[in-house]
Amino acid sequence: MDTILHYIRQYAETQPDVPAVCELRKKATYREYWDNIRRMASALRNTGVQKGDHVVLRCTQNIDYLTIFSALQYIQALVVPVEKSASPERISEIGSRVDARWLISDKEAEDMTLIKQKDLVEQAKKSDVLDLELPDSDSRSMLLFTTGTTGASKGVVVLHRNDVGIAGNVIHGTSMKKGNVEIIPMPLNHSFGIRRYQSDMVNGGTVCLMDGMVFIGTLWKLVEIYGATSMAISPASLGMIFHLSGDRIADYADRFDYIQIGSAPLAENDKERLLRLLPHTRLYNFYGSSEAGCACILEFSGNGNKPGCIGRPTVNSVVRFTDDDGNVIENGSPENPALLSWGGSIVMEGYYNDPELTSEILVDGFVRTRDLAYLDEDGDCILVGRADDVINYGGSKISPAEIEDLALGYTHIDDVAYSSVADPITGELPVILIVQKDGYDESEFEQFLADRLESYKLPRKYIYVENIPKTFKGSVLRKEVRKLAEQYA
Amino acid sequence: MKEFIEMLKKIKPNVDFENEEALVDDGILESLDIISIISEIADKYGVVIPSDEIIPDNFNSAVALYELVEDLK
Repeated sequence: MDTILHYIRQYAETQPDVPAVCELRKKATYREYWDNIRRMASALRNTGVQKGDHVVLRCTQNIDYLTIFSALQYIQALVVPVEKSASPERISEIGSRVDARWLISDKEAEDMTLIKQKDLVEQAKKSDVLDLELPDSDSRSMLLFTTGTTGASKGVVVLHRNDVGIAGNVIHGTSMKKGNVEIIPMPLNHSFGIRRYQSDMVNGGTVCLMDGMVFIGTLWKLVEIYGATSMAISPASLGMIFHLSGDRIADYADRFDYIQIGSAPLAENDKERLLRLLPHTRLYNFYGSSEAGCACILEFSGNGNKPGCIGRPTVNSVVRFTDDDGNVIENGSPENPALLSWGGSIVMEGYYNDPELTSEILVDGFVRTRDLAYLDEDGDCILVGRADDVINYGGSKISPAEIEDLALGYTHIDDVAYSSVADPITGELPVILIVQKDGYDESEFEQFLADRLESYKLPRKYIYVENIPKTFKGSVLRKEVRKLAEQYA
Repeated sequence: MKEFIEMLKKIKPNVDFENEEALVDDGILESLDIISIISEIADKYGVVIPSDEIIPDNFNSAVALYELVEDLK
């Protein structure tokens, strides 16, 4: 079928009473969900939102958010999901970059017409269902903002056929069973979270929503109430489960069919602990990006442990290796790893309003990454390193250069480097190294950053140094900076 | 209670812990703040909050959290 909406519509007819989306105190069956999407579409139309409009939608990580998200797709407006904690300034910046006319949120942002989510939800309850033709597979599904493969923030234009292709990768890759009930605590404005939801919709399963993993009591309640059989989490979420509840997850050793872990590599000790606690559960790591989702899958339970292994290419993806100049190389080798590219139905349309970057990253229908890898004799893809320096803070990717450029706008610093130190829960913890000038004031600088950045990008530690290690040409020596950060933090 | 609120303010300054009743629902406390609060309660009061009790309702107000800690003492 062409789109995720086609599947939801079909299941509303064939299994109307099966729960589609659930929260702790609320749920919607497929029939209710499909009706609610069409009522919401009616409310959006009555508010003035039209086919082709670009709409920024603040993620509230609940059923209402998914209903609005799907309704925007249904009326063929282009949905641009943004994270819950995004500042009004950041939302305005995204809005202007994507030519958005509307903002669905609870707070105003410049240059967009605000539709309050609460008002929309109330209006939808009073609306009749709207019957429309569904979009086709080659039309635009959503615009995802990501730091992605090159570091700088950009808008990835995703097509409906990408959604369906990627969902197929997840379903096939996890051997997802009919009647799967999946807990998703990952943000639904990011590719990992939204694509897990989409795979469950294609499979006719049930999604249980959580807002992050910190409220772990909610996790246990969801498992009990809805009989969850799987989870889609990040390494940071897993760290949180261990940190807050010790080995409690072992109580559900016979419950979970599989757990898929994405957005960052899993630490070896957490991997071993999970294998020990859930010996009957299939455990998967996915590799992919907003530009080309779920490209590779590794079942790390039951398989041998090869360092750097990201598994095999998924059913709807095609792997290709190139050198720095883009010349195709056959499979690479341990001695000569090559840059990974991904093709197939998972590949995005391109970057919004950025033909230059699109032509740099998207070549012959393949997304070029900066990951160095090779294919071994078993057909497994072995990753040997990243060719860029993006920081992964609990699954959120941060480009150091973006923060440094902004930080240098504060008058009383001479130089700055943004880096990270190892952290048991989040994997990496962002820190900032500062060379001060006269008049520097830490709380003033903190406020300067807080006014301009999303909260997850704010440094968790401020480290003062005499100078920033740099090359002769003036580029920051990232490894040296990281060593310095570890030393001082 | 006063001492308890002082502890919360050290973790998250500039929050009206005396009056806010939707610290989680309104996004005032973020996940890392919750982790810090749980750790600080363990250090300061010797109370380990069981994972079943780590739910938004117990963290939405200083009063709710204080009562939980008192019950667990």
